[in-house]
Amino acid sequence: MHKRQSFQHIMIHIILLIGTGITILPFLWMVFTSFKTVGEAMSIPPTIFPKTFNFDSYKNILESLPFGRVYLNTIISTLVTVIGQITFCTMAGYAFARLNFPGKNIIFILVLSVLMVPGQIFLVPQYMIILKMGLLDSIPALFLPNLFSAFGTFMMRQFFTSIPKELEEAAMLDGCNRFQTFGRIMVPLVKSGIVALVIFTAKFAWNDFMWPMIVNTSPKMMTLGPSLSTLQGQYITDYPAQMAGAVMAVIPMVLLFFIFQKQFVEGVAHTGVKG
Amino acid sequence: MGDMTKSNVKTVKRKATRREKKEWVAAYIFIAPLVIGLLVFYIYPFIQNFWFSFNDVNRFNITTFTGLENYKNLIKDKELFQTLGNTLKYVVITVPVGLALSILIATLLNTKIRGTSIYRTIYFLPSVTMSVAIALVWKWIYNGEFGILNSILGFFGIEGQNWLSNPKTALYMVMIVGIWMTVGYNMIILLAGMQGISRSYYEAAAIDGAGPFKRFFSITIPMLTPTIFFVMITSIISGFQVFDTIYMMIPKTSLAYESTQTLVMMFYRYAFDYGQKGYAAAIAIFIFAIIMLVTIFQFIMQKKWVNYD
Amino acid sequence: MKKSIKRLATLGLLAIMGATFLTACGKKEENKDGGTATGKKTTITFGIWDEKQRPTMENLVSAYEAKNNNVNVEIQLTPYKGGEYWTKLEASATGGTAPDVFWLNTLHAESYKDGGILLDLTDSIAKSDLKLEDNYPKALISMYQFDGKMYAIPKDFDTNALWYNKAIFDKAGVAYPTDDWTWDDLVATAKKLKDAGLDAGTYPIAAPLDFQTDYYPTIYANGGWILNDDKTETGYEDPKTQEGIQIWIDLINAGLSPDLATMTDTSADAMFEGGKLAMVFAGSYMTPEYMSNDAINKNVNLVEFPEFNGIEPNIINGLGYAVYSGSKNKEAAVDFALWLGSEEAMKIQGEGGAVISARNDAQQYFAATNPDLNLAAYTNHSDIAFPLPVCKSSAELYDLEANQLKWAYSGEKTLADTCKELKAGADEILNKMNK
Repeated sequence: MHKRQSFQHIMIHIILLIGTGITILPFLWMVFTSFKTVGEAMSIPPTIFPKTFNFDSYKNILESLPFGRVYLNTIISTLVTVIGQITFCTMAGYAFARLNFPGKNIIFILVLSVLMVPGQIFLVPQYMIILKMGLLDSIPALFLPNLFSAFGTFMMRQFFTSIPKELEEAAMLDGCNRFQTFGRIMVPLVKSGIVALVIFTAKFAWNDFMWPMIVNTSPKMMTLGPSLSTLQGQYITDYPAQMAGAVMAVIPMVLLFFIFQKQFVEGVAHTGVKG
Repeated sequence: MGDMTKSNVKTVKRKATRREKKEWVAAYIFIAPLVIGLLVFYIYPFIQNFWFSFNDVNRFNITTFTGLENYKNLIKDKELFQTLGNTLKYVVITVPVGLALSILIATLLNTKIRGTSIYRTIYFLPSVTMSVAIALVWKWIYNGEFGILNSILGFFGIEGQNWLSNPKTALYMVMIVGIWMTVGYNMIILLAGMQGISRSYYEAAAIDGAGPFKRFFSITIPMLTPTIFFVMITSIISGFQVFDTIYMMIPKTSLAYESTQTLVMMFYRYAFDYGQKGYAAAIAIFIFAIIMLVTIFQFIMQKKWVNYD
Repeated sequence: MKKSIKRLATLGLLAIMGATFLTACGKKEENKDGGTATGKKTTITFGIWDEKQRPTMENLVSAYEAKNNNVNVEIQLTPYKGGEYWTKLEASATGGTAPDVFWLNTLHAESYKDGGILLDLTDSIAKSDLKLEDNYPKALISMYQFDGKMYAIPKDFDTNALWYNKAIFDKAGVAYPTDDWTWDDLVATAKKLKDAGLDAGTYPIAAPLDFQTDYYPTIYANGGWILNDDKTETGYEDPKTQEGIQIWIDLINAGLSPDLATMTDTSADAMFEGGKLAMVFAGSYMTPEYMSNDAINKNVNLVEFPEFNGIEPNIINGLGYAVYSGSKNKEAAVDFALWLGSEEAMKIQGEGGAVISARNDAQQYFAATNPDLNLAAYTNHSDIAFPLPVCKSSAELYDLEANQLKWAYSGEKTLADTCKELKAGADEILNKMNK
C-alpha cells in the first residue's frame, strides 16, 4: 500500500515537473533578459544566460519613477478594489444563487452581458463619468469603476450554488435572519472561492494598464503598469528595461499569492469539517 | 438559470406571502450596490455603444444618425467573417484543451504530495505577468531563425520554420500562448472548487474501496460541475475576446495576419486606429450577440450536466 | 468575530470612498479660486509622448518660463506605442480637458481638424514674427495646412538614410558606402558582400515592408505616386510606382535581403542591431536607438539615401505643436506654441539631439550632436524630399497596403496583380472617406 502510494506520488511529480518546465522557462528568460545590456539582449542568436549580471535596468527604473509613490498607489488601488469587489460580489452572488425575487433572471443576464462586449467600449464613457464626478487625476479614479465586477458576481454565484441547501435552512430555523445566515453560515463556506476571487481581482487591479493611463495624468497618481510603459520611448526597444519592469511588477503578486495560498489550504480544513 | 425560471413563474402567478416579500427586500439589498455600480459604469456605456452603432461617430463622439448603415456594411464585410472564423477556431480549441489541462493540474495539486505550494505558485506565474513581456518572450521562442522551439525540434531532427509568419501555424502558436497564460488561473478556481467538496464523500468512497480514478470521476467531477461550468463560460467569453497578445505578436506585415485576426482586433482597429467609432460599435454589438447566444445555449445545456446539489 | 471583520471591512471601504469624495470636492474648489481670484500665474498643460525627448521638452519649458514668469507649463507624457496617447487625447478632448498645447502627427492632423479640436493659428502666426514660409520647409508647412489655414507649428521632421555596419564591411573587405552612391552601387556592393561570404544568417541589406523608410522614397524618386492631390485616387497601378516597389522585391529575390517571413520574425532594425545586417535604411528617429545599443554603436555610420532615377529619394514627415481649441488659456497656449517655433526654441530642441528641428536655421544642430556620425545625410537634401502622402483614412490605407503588398514581397503573387487589387480596395476607402 505504502509503496504504491509513493509510486503514484513520483508519477504526479513527473507530470507536474514537465508542466513546471514549460511554465517557468519563458519566465526565466524574462528574468535573465532583464539583467542583460541592450546590446546583449538584441544579439543574434540570443544568449540565454546574461554574460554579466547588469542591474542598470532596475536602477534606471528606480531612479526615473517616483517609485515609492507609484507602488503605494498601486497597493491602495488594488486593496480597495479587492475589498469592494469581494463585498459587492459576494452579496450579489449569494442573492443570485439562493434568493428568489422578481426580475432575477433579467438582472442576472444584464450583469453577465457586461462581460460580453469588448472591454474597450467602457473606456471613454467611464472617463466622462469620472470627469463629471470631478475625480480626474485622483486615487479614487483608479479604482471606482473596478469595484463592480460581473465576473466576480458570477463566480461567487457558482460557489454559493454548490453549498448544500440544508445548512442554510437549519440556520434559518435557528432564528437567524437572511443577513445573519449570509454572514455567519454562507460566507465562511465559500471562503476558498473568496480567496480565488481575491487573487483574481488583485491580479487584475495590479496589472490594469489602459484605465489608469487614461484617467490619471500626473506621475504621482499613476500605478505601476502605466508608469513602466512611460519609460519606453516611441522607437526605442529597450528589452532589458521592459523585462525588468515586468519582473518588478510580478514580484509582489507572486508574494501575495504565496501567502494567500496557505489560507487556501486552511480554508480546506475549515470547510471540510463543517461540510 | 433553469431552476430560477420555475420559481419566478410561481411568484408572479400567485400573491406573494409576507415571507417571500421579506426575501425580496433582502435580495434587493444584497444586489443593490453591485447593480447600481454596474448601471453607472457599465450598462450606461453599453447603451451608449448601442446608440453609437446606429450612427456615424467620429473620434470625439460627435454622432450623425445613419440608421442601419453600419450593420448593412458589416454583414457585407468579408473581414467580419474571416475574423469570426479565426475567433471560433480559437475558442473551440483553447477552451477544451485549457479546461482539461487546468482540471488535470488542479487534481494533481489537490493530492497530498510535497511542494504543492511551490507548484501552485509556478503555475500561477504566467497569469500575473504583463502581456507585453509574455508576447515578447514567446516571439523569441517561436523565432524562425534562432528561436528555442526550432532548436529543440532540430535536436529531434525535425525541421523548424517561421511559426508566426506561416498562415497555417500562426493561429495555433498563438493558442498555445493563450492556454499557457490562462491554465494557471483556471487551476486556482478549480482548486477552490475542489476544496469545497466535503471530505465525507471521499471517506465514504474509501470505505467502499473506490480507487483514485473512480473517486475522481464519481465524486470530484460531479461535485465540481458548477465550478467547471463557471470556468467554461468565462473561458469561452474571454476566448471570444482574445486580443492583446495576438496584437503584439503578429505585425501587420505578417503573412499570417489574416489568419490570426480576431473579432476584437477588428473592433479595436476601427475604434482606435481608424477613428470610426460607429462601425466599431456595430462590431461590438455583433460580438455581444454571438457571445450571448453561445452563453444562453450553455445555460440551457447546463441542466443536462451541471450538478447543483 | 467573522461578522465584525466583515463589518469593519465594509466600514473601511465606505470611509475610504467618503474621504476621497471629500478631498476631490476640495480640490475642485481650489482650482476655481486659482483661476479667478489670484489670476496671476496661468498654468498651461503640454501633451507629449516620447520619454526620450522629455529632457529636451523640460529644457524648453524652463527657458519659456524664465521669460514669462506668470506662466507655468506642465508636461503630460502619455506613451505612443499602443495608441494610448491618442486614446487619451481623444477622451480628454471629448470631455473638454485636453492639454492646451500638444504634439500632433500628420496621421491624425486632418481628422482632428475636422473634429474641431485644433485651434486655427493662421492669424496668430501672421501677427507674430515667425514668418513660416521663410523659415520652414514647404513640405512641413503643407502637412498642417488645410484650406489655407495653419493648425500647428511644425516641430521636427524625419527623413531616411542608409546605415551600415563597418565590422561586416571590414571582414568582407568591401569598401564602405558613400554619400554619392546610386541605387546600382548599392546593389553591386550588396552582391560583393554576399560573394565575399558573410556569416550564416547575415545579409548584405534588408528590404522590409516599410513604406516610409523604404519603398515610398523610391516610388516618388521614380516619378510614381501613391495619392493624388484631390485624395480621390491611389497610384498603385502606375508602372512607375510599381518600379519603385519592384527594386526592393528584387533585393529579396536575389538573396541580398532576408525574406519577408524572416523579417516579420526579426525586424530589420533588430537584425541590424544584432549585427546581422551590413546595411539598413532607417529614419532619423532611429539614431538614438542605434546609439544606445552598446553592441553596435562603435561600429556604425550612415550615408545619404542612394540616388535613384537621377534623384535623391526621400520622404519627409514631421510633428507639429497644436493648440487645443477648447483651451481655457488660449492666449497663453498660443503664445507658448508660437515660441516653440522660434529660433531660440528650435535651437534648444536641435541640440537635444533626439530629433531634427523643423526650422531651416536649426536643422544643423542635429548633425552637430554626434560629430562621429555622418548625420548630415538626413538633412543634406531635405529640401527636395517628398512629403509623406496622408489623408484622413491613412491608417486604414497603410494597413491595406501592407496586407496586400506582402503577397508580392513573399512571391505568392505578382506585383502587378497585387497592385490591381490594392488600388481597387484603396480607392474604395477613399470613396467612403470623401462621401
